[in-house]
Amino acid sequence: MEKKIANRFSSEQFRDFILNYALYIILGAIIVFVSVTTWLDPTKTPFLRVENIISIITQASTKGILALGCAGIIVLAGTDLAIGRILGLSSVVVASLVQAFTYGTRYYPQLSEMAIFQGAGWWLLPIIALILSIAISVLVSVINGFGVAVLEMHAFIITLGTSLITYGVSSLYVEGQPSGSSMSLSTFDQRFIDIALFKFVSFGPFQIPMLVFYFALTAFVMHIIWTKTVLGKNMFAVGGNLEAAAVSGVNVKKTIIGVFAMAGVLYGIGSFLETARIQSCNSSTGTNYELDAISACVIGGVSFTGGVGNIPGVVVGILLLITINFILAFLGVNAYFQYIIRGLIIIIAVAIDVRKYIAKK
Amino acid sequence: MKRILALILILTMALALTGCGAAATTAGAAETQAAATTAAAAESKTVNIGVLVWKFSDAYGSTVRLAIEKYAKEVGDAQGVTVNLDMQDANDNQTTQNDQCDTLLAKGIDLLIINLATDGAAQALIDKAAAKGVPVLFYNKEPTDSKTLVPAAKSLFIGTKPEEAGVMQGEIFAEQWAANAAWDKNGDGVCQYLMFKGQADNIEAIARTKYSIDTAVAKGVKMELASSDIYVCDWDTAKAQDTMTAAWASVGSKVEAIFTNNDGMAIGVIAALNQVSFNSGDKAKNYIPVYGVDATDEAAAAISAGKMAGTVKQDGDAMGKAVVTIAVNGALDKGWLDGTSYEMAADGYSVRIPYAKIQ
Repeated sequence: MEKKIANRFSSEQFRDFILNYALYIILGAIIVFVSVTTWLDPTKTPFLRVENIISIITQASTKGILALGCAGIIVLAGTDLAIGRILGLSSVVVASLVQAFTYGTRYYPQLSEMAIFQGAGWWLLPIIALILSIAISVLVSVINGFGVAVLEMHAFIITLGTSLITYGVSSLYVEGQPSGSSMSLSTFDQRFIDIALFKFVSFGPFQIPMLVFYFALTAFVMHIIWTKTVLGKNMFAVGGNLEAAAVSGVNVKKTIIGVFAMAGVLYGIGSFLETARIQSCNSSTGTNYELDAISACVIGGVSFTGGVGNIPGVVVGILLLITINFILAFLGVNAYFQYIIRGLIIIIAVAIDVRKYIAKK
Repeated sequence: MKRILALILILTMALALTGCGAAATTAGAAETQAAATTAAAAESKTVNIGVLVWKFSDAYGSTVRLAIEKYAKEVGDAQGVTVNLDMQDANDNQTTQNDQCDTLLAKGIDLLIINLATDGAAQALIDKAAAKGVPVLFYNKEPTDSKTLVPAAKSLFIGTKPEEAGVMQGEIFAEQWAANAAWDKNGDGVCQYLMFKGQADNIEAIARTKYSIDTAVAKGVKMELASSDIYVCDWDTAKAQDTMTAAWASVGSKVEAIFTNNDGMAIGVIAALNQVSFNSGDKAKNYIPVYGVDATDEAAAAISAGKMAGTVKQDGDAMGKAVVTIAVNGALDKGWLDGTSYEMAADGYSVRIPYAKIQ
């Protein structure tokens, strides 16, 4: 029996298989190990339960939407260090608009007195907030795209620059509140929180919040854009080989700016939903979110060398990343070890990614 | 096309810059005017004070910073001088702060107020200031080894008693625990709790974590950590929320009380609890007491909505007033506490601003 399998799969195929799936195998092994050990130990709560899976997917949703945006930029062989700060700025703007009218120290006390926002008119506020969130994110992201496409700067540099600018702006905005302090903007209207967290499907004791639905929808739409549209195809062409793409008639600049704008839309949506999820924003909101989004893409097989990646991979990437974070907190692992483990996972992911690339060449 | 785009970009940047410049000029003009008025009123001299702030965007820190600015004029008038403040934001980076210290000293200041980015970095700043003969005053973040270091530099530290916030948190809890028999869900007479610590190496975080539990125990409550280790969430709301969700899955059914080092994390914990239909405002069912520190507006709102059990107020306004009052004394070469109502703490090198319980 063993011989037969050995015959069917050549050693090279086996090597390819291990290379392609090594990370998933390692992470899968961790999940199985934790599930089994917590299940066998009667003093511990078992890890593998439906509500935990729902919690993980919910936590992964907003960061997943960010990762979906950033994945396109990585396919272009770029990177985006501004994600966290873009989210920071968008979310404080959203937060300032949707604070409960009953909350004493809200950012815009005058909103509650305007006739237009009374009763059902209140819904205009989250709509304005969503539009502003997307507009801000697209603006910053398009500036990044412009820097890369037209000014021919490396994405690392231009996004580093805009992340600093955005952080400055959001800090100024937060301090613009009536008290003049940097106090968090919080205490939102429950209807706003429900946009993200309302349990839209419940079977038995298990309830799935709206966030998961938005994430699934966004992933589906992005999958269509990546695989079926001209922008998607041009994106892979430019990411794979910029000169070849230009020669074969692809408008490189338009494609790059388009991909950045698309990322901006997703950041805007992600920021809006994340605001509702965390329910309290200040100028440090969003710090290091770019690292989670980029890690998710890398774990999900989007190559930093450009031209390679797919949406299901990114979805799996963010789910695995959040699962690991969840497990570390679930087991109560020492905070310092958590950093070490996360670092190792990213290094292993990239090491495998590079091996794959060499193997292909 | 390319040129037009580039032009637009440059124009936008230029506009943005002039915008900032204009704002700065207005502020400058206001200051000059204020200075002129005071100068006219009395032949006053100007006192230049440099302020090194660890992080402008820190919520509590910003209330202190605003208070320093607010009381500068009042204190200056009382002393017959014009107080010029030059504030710098290190954004939680000690290297930046050291550079800013050099810049301020090069500009020429009469006194340097230091809110350290890193607790252990005081000596370098003291040495820099001493070389120029500029007195220094510390606030908020207590330098490591402050007992010998601060008096040796003829300096003073204005802060809170780190343990006081923890002690008060523990007192609020012990009192409420005794009054609510139903909080002991499993009826074993022991409180199974969770602890959310701000930072592993921060003096305040360490003291709040230790003294909240120690005080509860001293008040006769048996305490037991429900998780295998305490959680460290960098004072961060989102991180506390994600951690609490995982903690709930792991040990949630056991938990009878939750302590956090600041209100930001408490709010995150409550958001996670809301997700599992706990702490939604009805204390009679599905409620776990959550405790914070800072008394931010959001925490006050959560407490009055019945979602949170208590917090401890760190009085930023009083702290800022104390800092600027004592700093002006120092800049005028008077004794630190001359003519003020502040008292030297028993340790002989510090003034401690008291906390207050909010529940």
